[in-house]
Amino acid sequence: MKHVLSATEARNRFFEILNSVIYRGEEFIVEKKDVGTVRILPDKPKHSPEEIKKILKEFRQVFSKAAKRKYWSVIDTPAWKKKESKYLENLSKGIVK
Amino acid sequence: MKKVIVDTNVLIDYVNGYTKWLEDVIRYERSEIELVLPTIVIAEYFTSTALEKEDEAEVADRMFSFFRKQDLNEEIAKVLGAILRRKTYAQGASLADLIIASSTIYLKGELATRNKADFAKIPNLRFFNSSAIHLTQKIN
Repeated sequence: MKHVLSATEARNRFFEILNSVIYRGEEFIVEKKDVGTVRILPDKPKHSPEEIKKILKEFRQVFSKAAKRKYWSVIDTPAWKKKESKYLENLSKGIVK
Repeated sequence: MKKVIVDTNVLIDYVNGYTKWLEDVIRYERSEIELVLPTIVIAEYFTSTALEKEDEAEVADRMFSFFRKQDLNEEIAKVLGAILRRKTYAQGASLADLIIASSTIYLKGELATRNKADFAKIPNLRFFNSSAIHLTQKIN
């Protein structure tokens, strides 16, 4: 996702922007009035092998209970899927409501 | 470089101890593969109540930082529109599945998913074959 903002706003929200770029891979275009623009975008994350191992392990541990459930969330339930199937069928017929 | 678009069920399977190829790609920074996460996959992942706590969302964010993100853009939307208009999708497919498939077609990538059946009938969609990856090192 790209966001456009002024240099003043970028200065005021710098650490928030940094986190969005690092953790969410978002991209920012900073405009300096009458001068030009710069882009802030993620470089490939630089993690040590130990950090990578830790992130992967943490991810597996934190979500292990949720992943063992029959349904990840409501969107996996048969009732939801049935409704969505009907919605798609209507969409293909040009019925949008 | 091959783009591998990752479906939500691959992430869930990874947590359950499967899809180890994902770990191989991430840990050994395999230059021939770029992992891509359509943002609809992030939405699906975040539907779980397990993501209610901020700390847990940050754990997911850290994991997702290994992936390139792909938003639903205008070109992908047009691919999606054509799939819906021509009804070239399987009965069990969800709108999210079709967005993931459209993103894969747009990126000329390969889709990594457990449920190939949900993506049947979609023209020009290629699937990722994880057995084609040669493990460089043993994963502990």
